[in-house]
Amino acid sequence: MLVGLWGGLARLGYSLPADTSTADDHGILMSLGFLGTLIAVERATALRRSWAWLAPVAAAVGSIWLAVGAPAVVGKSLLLLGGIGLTAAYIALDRVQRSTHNALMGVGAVGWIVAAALWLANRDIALLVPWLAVFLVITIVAERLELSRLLQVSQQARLVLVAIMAVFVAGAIISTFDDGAGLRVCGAALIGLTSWLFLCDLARRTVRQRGVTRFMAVGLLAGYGWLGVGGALWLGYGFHVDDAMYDAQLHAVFLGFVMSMVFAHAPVIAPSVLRRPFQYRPVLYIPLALLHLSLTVRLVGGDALTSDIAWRAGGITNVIALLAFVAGTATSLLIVRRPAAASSEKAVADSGRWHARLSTPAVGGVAVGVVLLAVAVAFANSGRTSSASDATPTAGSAAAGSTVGVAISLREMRIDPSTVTAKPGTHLILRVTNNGTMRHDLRLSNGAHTALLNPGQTTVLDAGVITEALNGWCTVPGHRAAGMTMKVVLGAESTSPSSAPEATAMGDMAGMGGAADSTASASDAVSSNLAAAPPAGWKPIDASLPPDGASSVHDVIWHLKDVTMSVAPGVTQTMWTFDGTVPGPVLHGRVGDTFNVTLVNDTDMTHNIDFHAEEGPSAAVMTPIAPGAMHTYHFVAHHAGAWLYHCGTEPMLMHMGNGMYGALIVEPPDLQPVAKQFVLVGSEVFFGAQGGVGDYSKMLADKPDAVVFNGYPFAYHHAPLRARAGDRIRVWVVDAGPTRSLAFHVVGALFDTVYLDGAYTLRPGDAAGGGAQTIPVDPGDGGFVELRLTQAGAYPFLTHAMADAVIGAAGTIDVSK
Amino acid sequence: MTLVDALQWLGTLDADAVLEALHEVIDPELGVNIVDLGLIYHVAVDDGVVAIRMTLTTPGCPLGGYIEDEINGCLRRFPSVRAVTVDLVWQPPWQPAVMTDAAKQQLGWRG
Repeated sequence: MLVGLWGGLARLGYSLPADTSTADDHGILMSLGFLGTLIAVERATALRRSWAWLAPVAAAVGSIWLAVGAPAVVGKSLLLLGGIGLTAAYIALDRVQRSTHNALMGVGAVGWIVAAALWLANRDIALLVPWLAVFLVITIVAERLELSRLLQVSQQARLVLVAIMAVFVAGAIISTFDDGAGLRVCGAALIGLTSWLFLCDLARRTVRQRGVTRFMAVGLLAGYGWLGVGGALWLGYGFHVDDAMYDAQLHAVFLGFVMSMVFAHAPVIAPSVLRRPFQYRPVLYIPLALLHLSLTVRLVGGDALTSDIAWRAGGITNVIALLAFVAGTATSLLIVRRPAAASSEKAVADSGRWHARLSTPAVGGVAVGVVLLAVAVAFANSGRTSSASDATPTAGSAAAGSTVGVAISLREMRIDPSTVTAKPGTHLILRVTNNGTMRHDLRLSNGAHTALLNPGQTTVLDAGVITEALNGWCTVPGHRAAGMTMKVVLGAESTSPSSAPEATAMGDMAGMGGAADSTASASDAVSSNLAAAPPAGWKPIDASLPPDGASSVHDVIWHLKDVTMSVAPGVTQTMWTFDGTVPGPVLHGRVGDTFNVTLVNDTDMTHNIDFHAEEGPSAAVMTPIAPGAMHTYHFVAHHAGAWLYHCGTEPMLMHMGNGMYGALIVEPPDLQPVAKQFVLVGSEVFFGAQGGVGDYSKMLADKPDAVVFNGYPFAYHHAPLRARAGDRIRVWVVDAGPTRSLAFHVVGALFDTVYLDGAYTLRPGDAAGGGAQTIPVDPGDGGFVELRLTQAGAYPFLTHAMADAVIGAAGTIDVSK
Repeated sequence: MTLVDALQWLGTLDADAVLEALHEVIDPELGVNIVDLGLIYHVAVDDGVVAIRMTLTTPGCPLGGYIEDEINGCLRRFPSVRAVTVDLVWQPPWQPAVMTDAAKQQLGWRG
């Protein structure tokens, strides 16, 4: 049965490289599938009751199930069942003999349950990490607490350790609501645990002994070191996703600490579980040293100093260390301890039962199982490796002609791994999971592509037989330019960017085209004359602002929609809009008014809205709206001003650059009536392919094709704003950017009233006789000016940043008698 | 010639001799033998059959099987031993106080 279990575990691992889902999954499969099975096997061995084997069997079968790609819900449920079974084993042990450490290990098992349940609920993998740590760290430290009874450790010291573990669990609970704060609390607790272990743990003493006892102590102490490193990284840097820090934070704890514990205990646990005599040999120090050295290289050289070579070498050597260790352990298990020289034939005969266990098939089975397990560990590790920049999930294993599976994770705004190495002739299958919060897809330059995936959705993409380097990207507009790219490189090639020839971008995708790769793509639309007459049917945005009504509550319902419209003479673009116009409708009220803005998302993309006049954490007030969904934003305008509202969905530059902005006018209480009010929203326009969306690379480069007031170059040259001579007029100016500032100026006039940054900087009848010529409006800011044009005629207005004025940021006020 | 070798040579065995011999069985994690740890509760020898009643520091400890094998391996070197039975019990629970001074000293206890 044991052999079967170990063999099964190995099969799990053996199939990992071919089929497993995301790199993240390897972490969970290693923690719950592999280590969880090991720990559950230990408890079942100790408990000596058949039902206790349910836990390890469920965990192992569940892992295999997941590894071969069977329906995940069953595999994840089995893993959950494993956690429940282990908890039950601790309850049974509690009945045999009640103890604090056993109860704490039970808490660890509950961590397993929580992690598995979160996974089953398809929660973000990163949320699981603290709970996986609760399971492994609490289980291990509880065992050290048990052993501390053998030392002269005071009751107070033991209570301190229990308290630190409680803090750790509290951190994990907090992390479910606030991952950054939770992880820091956990990190502080890890440092506490490390300090305690170095001060009080048995290993400190047993390291002075000899043989296997010393080996264990060295492994333990080295592991404690990594626990401290992990704690410092968790405490110091909080929550990270999929970057070098994440790599370091995870591997310090799960490889450095946990695997070192496994190394340390294996020489004792393996023979006990397998009932095989074990000959400890000092050669086991070699893989132990390799593990720690390679992890140091990986974290210091790779993650901290961002050396790709160090990262890669460290990662691969991690694998070699694990392999070497398993090989060393297996060899030691195979060395049969000889009975003492003086033994008689009778003794040999009497020990028949013992020797029967050494029967060739059993030994062979164990050996094969252990070796396959080594392969499993190795690939599980290399799979994890692929979560960073230069994945090598197939390196060294993908013989030409073989089929290789690689897990791909999509999220804002990256694709992991960003590089997949495949030998020419490899049939590459990608298992693509959207781990982000909005919809993504993956398209490869050979034409293979997935459908748009909803958050949490997974699909399999057959990339075909790899004969050349490929590029991959997300086709959702803006996402490619924002970083959602990956590539498939051939075999032994280096992973430098130049090794993968850029795919021909033309026609890659609607709208964005290949524009992402250069500032001005040949496919971008061009306007031969920005000042030419707009096409028939074009209507300017009505800039006039009617007086605010009596109501202090403003209820509006807007539809988020993609609208194909003329944005300049000769240029048609698909704009992302608030209620069909660019800029969106003006919201208008007074200080203290309530705004209830309902947005219905008619697009196939997630959007949200950020009212600059609203206060609160973005997670709470800038609720994202999924395609097809609707949401009502409520807020009270507590402060006066000409506010910007805009879509705050990443990539924000793309969403704002493609039309998602507008003005919110909140009148100060003492605002004097005027004859006419206008609202002008300044912005930049970036032409993408004709009929497509804006060119994100131009947005990034701050290279607009036009700078406009209210969405169209020279809109109010074509349809001038109108006023009467002698009227006092007020112009509200908001700059939506996304990047350029405005210097609003009216030619032939000056302002006697200026309101900026929530205050009047100039009022009529200024005691010092002051006047204003331009008002500076930065992106995301706004204000108003008042002026009187006493003589009839045409008064141009513009941004006095002249290069912007000549590409559209200008208009006319026609003053009649 | 060690004591165990001598006993083996003599072919005689009683409970004290077994206890003496079990000093060779070391808890690998602690590096201390199971007798000084106070894990052995009772030893009986009857016509070459050795019956040992013992405990572990905690019932969750998976080392039971390993230690049983070690005990078997240790005692079966005696020509007069025909069988060894190990009975793992949890009452009374093991406590640090049952360790011998030798074990405590090895584990760094002072005073």
